[in-house]
Amino acid sequence: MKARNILVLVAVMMFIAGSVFGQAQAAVEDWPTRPIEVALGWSAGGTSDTTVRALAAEMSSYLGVDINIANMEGANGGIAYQTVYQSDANGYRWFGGAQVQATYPITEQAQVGWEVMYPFPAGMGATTIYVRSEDGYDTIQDLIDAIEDADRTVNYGHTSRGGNGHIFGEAFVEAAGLEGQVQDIPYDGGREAGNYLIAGEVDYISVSLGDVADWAEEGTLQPLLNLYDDDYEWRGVTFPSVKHDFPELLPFTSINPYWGISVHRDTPEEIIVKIAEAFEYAVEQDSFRNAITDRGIIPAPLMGEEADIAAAMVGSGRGWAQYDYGIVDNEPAMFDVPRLADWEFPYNESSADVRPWPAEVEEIFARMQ
Amino acid sequence: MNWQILTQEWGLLPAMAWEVMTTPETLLGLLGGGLLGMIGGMLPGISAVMAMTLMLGFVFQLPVDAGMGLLVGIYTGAIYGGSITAVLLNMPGTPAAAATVLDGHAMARNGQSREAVGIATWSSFFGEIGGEIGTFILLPIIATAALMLGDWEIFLVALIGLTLAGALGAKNPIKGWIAAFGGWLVALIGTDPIWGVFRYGYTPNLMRGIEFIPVLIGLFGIAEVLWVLRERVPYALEGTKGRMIAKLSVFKGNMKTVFRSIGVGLGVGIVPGVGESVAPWLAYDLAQRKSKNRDQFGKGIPEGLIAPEVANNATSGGALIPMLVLGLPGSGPTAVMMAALFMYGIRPGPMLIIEYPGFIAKFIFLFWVSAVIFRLVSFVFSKYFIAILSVRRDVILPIAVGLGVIGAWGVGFNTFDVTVMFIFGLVGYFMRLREFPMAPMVLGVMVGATADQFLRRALMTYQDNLLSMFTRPLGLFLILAFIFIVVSQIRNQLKDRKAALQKLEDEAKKKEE
Amino acid sequence: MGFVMKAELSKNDEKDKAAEQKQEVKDKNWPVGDYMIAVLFIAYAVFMFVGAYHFPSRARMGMLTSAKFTPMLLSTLVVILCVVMVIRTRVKFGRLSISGWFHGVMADERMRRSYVLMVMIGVYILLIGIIPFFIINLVFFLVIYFYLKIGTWKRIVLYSVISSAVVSYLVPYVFNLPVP
Repeated sequence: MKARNILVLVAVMMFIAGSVFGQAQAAVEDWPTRPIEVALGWSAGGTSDTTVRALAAEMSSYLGVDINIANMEGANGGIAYQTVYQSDANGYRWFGGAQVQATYPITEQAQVGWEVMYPFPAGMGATTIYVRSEDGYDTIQDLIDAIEDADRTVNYGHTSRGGNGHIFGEAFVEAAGLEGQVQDIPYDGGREAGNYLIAGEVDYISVSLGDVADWAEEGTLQPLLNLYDDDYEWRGVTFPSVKHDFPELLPFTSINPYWGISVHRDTPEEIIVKIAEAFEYAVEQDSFRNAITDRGIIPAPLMGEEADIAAAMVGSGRGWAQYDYGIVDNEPAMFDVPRLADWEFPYNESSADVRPWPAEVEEIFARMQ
Repeated sequence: MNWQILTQEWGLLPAMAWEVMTTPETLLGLLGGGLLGMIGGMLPGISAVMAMTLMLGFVFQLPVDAGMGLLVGIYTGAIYGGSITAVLLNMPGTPAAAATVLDGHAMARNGQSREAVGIATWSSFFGEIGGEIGTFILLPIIATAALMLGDWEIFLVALIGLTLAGALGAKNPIKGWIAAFGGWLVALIGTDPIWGVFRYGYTPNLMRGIEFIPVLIGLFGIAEVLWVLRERVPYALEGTKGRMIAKLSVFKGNMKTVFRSIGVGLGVGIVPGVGESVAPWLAYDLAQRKSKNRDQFGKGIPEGLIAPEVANNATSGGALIPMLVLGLPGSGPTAVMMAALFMYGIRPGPMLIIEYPGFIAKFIFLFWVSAVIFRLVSFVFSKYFIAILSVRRDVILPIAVGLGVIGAWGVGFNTFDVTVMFIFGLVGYFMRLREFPMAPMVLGVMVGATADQFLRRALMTYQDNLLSMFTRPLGLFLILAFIFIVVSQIRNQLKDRKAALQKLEDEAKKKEE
Repeated sequence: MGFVMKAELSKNDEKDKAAEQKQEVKDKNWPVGDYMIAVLFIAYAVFMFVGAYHFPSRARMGMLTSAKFTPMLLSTLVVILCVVMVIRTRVKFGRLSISGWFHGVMADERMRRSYVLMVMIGVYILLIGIIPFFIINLVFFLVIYFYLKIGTWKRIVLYSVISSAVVSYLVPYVFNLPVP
């Protein structure tokens, strides 16, 4: 009796083992045959999350398979990025979120940088300085004058230490000659900073445009300075470009966050092309464009070498800023990453040697322009 | 912002109610979500946030109302389901139910499982209905209050919550506080949000930090498994055949507790990040202070179950309004709801009420309907879930380990979280051997990072004039409350000890005679 | 009755006192556990304190807002509370023998059983991600149900298969949850 039971057990286990290991490898041409998983490096509800979900929804309907989002939060996306890098490069696992991978080796949040994946950024957020409308500042100069006249340290809030809001905030302070007169207060994202601005705990904020754009539309807050190469109109609100008063800040636009997906660079070329086609389709859909412009995100789809350059420049803009502000100990020069002022591409051997994009993708991108 | 415009929502309620009640998809969404949430809440480790996040992909295939109904259903269902496992398994399925175990499980151990489930069901019903009514009436006030809370006040609420949980969960508050502060210390592992430097960031996983869900599963789940199964004959629950016993008469003498707890849930629920987990403890403490049967608390007294259950359901409104009106999600579940709204092209925030009049009224009505649906569903199914959760411990607890593993895995989809769960299982087991309470440690891990960040940010904001921090009226009130709680807990301790010593002496005398 | 294994003076009801006496008979040195836990917590706090001491300090306001402030404050608090606890235990229970406690713990059957369970769960968790999820679940349930003697061979196999299916397929399917 006992022996028979054991036999049954062994048979059951062998059957299960067979069914688990026996999954035949689907051919590359058939890709995709099963759901795709996106490891998203940030929590549900944030800008990364909503942008990538909107993108994935459209790409999913083009590719004909489900695209599941797994929120794998942590280390500014580094954990998700590293995990995807270590997974099989078969096109079934993507990275999603802000495209700041060029900073990971510098911050040690992941072991690999932008070189290991093809970035597909879909939308961009400008960085903006907002004030309370009731304070009556009409231009950025009004704010600067008020700070200079204040008999106390002026507090400003930003997105997070080393984030785009902080870097732009400090660059503005330096450009306006306000060193020593302001203190930055880091919040958990621009939305929270906006809350504290309205509550009166800080005097102005430097955040992503979309974080509090609705408060600007409603009239409580007012944008004074926008890190973008031109004035930007959004639902009746004008976001004045830095080009008027501080043209020297224009190179800093590379610190503006890009959101999208990234795919392992070892993925077979056929699959990359299919992803590029799906990406092209998705970013042109109204539902996607509305989902992101509603949040004040500027559609800015990139592919091909241009996407590589955008992703790599983030390392220069953010990496050096984080080093200068004492957030990281590693000097970006250790990785041959140049300062924005000395920007060139490729800037070192590894950036010159990355696997190039398939020619077909460059064609798709040229067609999109 | 024009707060008057908020009041127009009151008038729109009937129309919105009619719309919800006549749309079968929405009702189905609520029902389906409710069932999913309940099941998720009962599985150790599947918290409301996790279940909601995982279902997001599915939600978008539904129309807006049905999708939001599904999420509301999961949210309220998970809170309820979490309390059921707290009662029957001594494992709070969700963090909100950590205070429910104190008297809920004690009642089950006394052979009153069905009564305890009944009380939990009615309490959550009252909490949800009452909390949402309060939310709706106080709409403009809540929205204003949410903008008035500064870093300093939020820190103080977290501190009060930790101190209370430490004192309430344990016979010996010193042990409770060791657990609470030890847990808070764990929460500091990771990236410092103020300076961006890594604290104890020796590996990328440590840079991310320790999440509270694996800690919760470890301390309550794995430790409980070790604790119970080490007995050759583990305990068995008695009186578990049949449906829950839902006698309303239990509430007759406890209406004050119900209303007080609704108030606590509403008020504390507004506090972002900490409100949800602190409210049940505060409600429990107040109930105990006001009760005639103070010494019966923790031994299975209905009041001790009613207070935290009502409060944890009443918090949902307090967190909901800032999300809808200001676009500020104060808790995990409301953040997920906000993500879903964005995906539907609806922007929560100051423009919501202008762009979508009646939306807030509808949302609140969804909560009411879900509360009613729940009572019916739980009444019908209680027979089965009581039976399932009451089966032999040596059969069900190993399954809890397996489910705990996938729960911990689901946090970040890596084995680090599973390992953390196991380590905290061992920590919890050894702590229990010497009667250290688990709940304060979980609470410490949950609110520790927020508390630390808000404290130091308050210091930064007021660096020119630290004194003004202490003169903010709300802050001053909270400081006084904190001092009162600490002093009265220590005094109670001394009193109890004296009484116990006195009793021993008396007995010794008696023996001599 | 592990649930009422308590040795505190503040107890006053009859049932608990009986349990307390039972505990006393079993091992009067049991409260030494407080010392052991205090030692572990103090070691943890010291580790956290030293770790925090090495955090880069970049606060313009100095110590108060720097990253090391809260961890150092909290670890100090934990150490103080542990010392208070040790003193209270010492006053309450008088002199306790550590070697007596050690022998007591070693002789305790429940402690031994809990170690076995820890090893089982630990090995299970260690192998997750290495062995396919269903198989490791099946093995875990077979082993633990066998150890817990839940019934005949047939029942053990049946329950194990059902439990592993629930954990590795049913729940992940319902909640759309990827598994290891």
